[in-house]
Amino acid sequence: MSAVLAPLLLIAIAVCIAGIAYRIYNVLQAPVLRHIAITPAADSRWGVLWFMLIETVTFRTLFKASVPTWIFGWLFHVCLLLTIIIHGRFLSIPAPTIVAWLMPYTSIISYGLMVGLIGLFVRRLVVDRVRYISSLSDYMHLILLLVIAGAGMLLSSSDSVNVYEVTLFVQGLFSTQWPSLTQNYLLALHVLGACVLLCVYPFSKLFHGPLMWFNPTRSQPQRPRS
Amino acid sequence: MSIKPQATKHIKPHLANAEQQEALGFPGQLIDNWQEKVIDLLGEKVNGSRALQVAMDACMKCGACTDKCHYYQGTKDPNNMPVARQDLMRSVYKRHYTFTGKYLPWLVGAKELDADLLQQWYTYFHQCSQCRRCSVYCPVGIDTSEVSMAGRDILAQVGMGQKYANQVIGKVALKGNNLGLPGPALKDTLLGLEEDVLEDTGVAIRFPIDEAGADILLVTPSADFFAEPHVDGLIGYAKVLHQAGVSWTLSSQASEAANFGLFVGSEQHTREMALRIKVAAQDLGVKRLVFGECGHAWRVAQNHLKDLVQGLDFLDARYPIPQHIAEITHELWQQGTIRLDVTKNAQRCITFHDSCNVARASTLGKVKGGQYSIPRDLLKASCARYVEMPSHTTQQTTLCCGGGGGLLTDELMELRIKGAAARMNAFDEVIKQHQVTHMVAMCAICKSQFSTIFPEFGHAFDSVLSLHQVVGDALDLTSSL
Ligand code: SF4
Ligand code: SF4
Repeated sequence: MSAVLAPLLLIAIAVCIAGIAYRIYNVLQAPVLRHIAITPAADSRWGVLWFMLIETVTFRTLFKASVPTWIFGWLFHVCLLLTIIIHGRFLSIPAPTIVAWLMPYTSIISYGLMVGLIGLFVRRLVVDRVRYISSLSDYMHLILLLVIAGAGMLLSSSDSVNVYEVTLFVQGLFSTQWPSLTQNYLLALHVLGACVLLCVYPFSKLFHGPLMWFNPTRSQPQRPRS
Repeated sequence: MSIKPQATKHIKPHLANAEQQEALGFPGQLIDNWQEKVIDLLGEKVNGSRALQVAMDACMKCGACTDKCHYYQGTKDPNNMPVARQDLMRSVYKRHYTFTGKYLPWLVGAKELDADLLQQWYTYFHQCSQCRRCSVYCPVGIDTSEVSMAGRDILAQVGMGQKYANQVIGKVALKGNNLGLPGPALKDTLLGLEEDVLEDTGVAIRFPIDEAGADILLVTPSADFFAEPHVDGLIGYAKVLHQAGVSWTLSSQASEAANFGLFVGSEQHTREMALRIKVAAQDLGVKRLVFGECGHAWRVAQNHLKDLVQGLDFLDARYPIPQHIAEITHELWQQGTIRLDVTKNAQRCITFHDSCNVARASTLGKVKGGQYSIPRDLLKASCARYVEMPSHTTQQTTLCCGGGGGLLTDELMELRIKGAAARMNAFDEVIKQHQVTHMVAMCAICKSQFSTIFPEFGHAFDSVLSLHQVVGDALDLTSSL
């Protein structure tokens, strides 16, 4: 199985990294034409940086705009971040300290992830304004994430994967000889889903996080009064 | 309340005719290869502006903005949801400039630009007052005004300019102001004002124009010369400057602060209109440049003027370049150079409407949030009864008056009334609770819009006041300091 998954995963990682670099290059080459910061804004670079960090961590603006979306959106993003960190368990045995510290909460975090995703999905279907602006891809992104997360949850709650084996696979991913993996369709689905996600991420709306950092309305200091 | 698709599809501004188009260097009518040209221009615009590129690429369709636009709130037309307004452009951008849009258009909502979509561009990019309220609520800060500006500029370049904005820009080039008031008429009006004010107050207050060597050039929206309540604001500026003993002048060459170049998204016209002001300042040899009460004029002046016109360093660097009249009044009041007396406004109970371009696109004074505190300080010092409208309708989240962004034209009246409904609800609330008598504004467009649509909502047309009208009325003209 690793003979299929390993090259796909490597390609997906390469596409993702190259895609991110390309997108950032692309947005940076477009000039900022005018001062269009939404005021009041910070008046220094550091002030703006602080503001953006707060925004990135808390989704403050979304909270102001729509509390239900914020609840599901923030929950999803936080749980996704924690889940990614927990995947660090496959880097070494024993797992890195921070991962070991989080691991007891794995199942609650994955429930949070699912609740967030399902909440976002339901909102998209139920609120007529949001349904109006949704295209197929908006639903597909959520379904893709639900599939990956669902498969992952099943994997971690069953004993069907051998953590030792997967760790060896991850450690050997960048070598020329890929360690073998026992046949497991659920694991294959999980990894293939992740490959699709890695490829889609830089080229879709999912890239909104980094783009926010380049948006002049947010990242410009306000024009000083001098 | 549910959405009503196409509710305002029928509302659109008059197209500019061939003459009005050609006067600005645009084609006189829809060009034959409009489709190709629009798509080319769109690509250029997106590559040439980071804000527009982010607007096209970063929207995650979260829906946070969908109920934040006053035009959506008043019309329920889903195309007035900011994200859907952007989608009119985004769908074409995706179709031609993204991989998925080219090969899987059905997946990502990419669309070919056809005649119907072109009409929708014209309709709905002119149902956006470019107020940027949506941007305040967008998690990634997408600026829909950048989209509607770019859209309007593209439309003008293929022959679909908007009559009202084009006419205004043409008049400024020819006569120096939006109204096309010639210099001599302006001088007459100002002389008349001097007489009126003398009669009212017993004090000889001057309204100087084209006086070389004055310290301050005051550039103000031309509505200040004749419209109500704008002219009372102009009288207020004159009283303040008189009382402070500063020498100032208006200019017949730059008798307009407004800059409709911004609304139509044309860098070239915005620059040309800004340049007149620099030339007037140089010709008159003034030391300071001061702007009157006009929202977008202040936005352009504060944020863009120095980029648009180079070489303003002949002005006195000890003062901010440019300055807003409210900053000057506020400073004079703080220093005690002018005195305000609340008893003079005893008959009034006022509330303040923050104008979008001052509230969200500019700043005033040195303190953060000065654009909110400066007018409020002045109003509270001028009137004992001051009341705030609900907080989600003020300051950074203020609602547009409904007539901004080049929409202040009669054929859009239905839209203007529906777009003002949200503000009117907030106004009604404070009227009911606190018996508010007047709403104060510091933007020429807001004032014109409100005095026109107030009667539709059961208010007298003169229940809107200029900031400097209230200040001017409270100003103690007797004290010799
Ligand atoms: S800029 Fe203002 S008018 Fe335009 S879509 Fe946003 S909220 Fe509506
Ligand atoms: S709030 Fe911003 S990201 Fe969300 S739908 Fe509106 S424009 Fe798109």
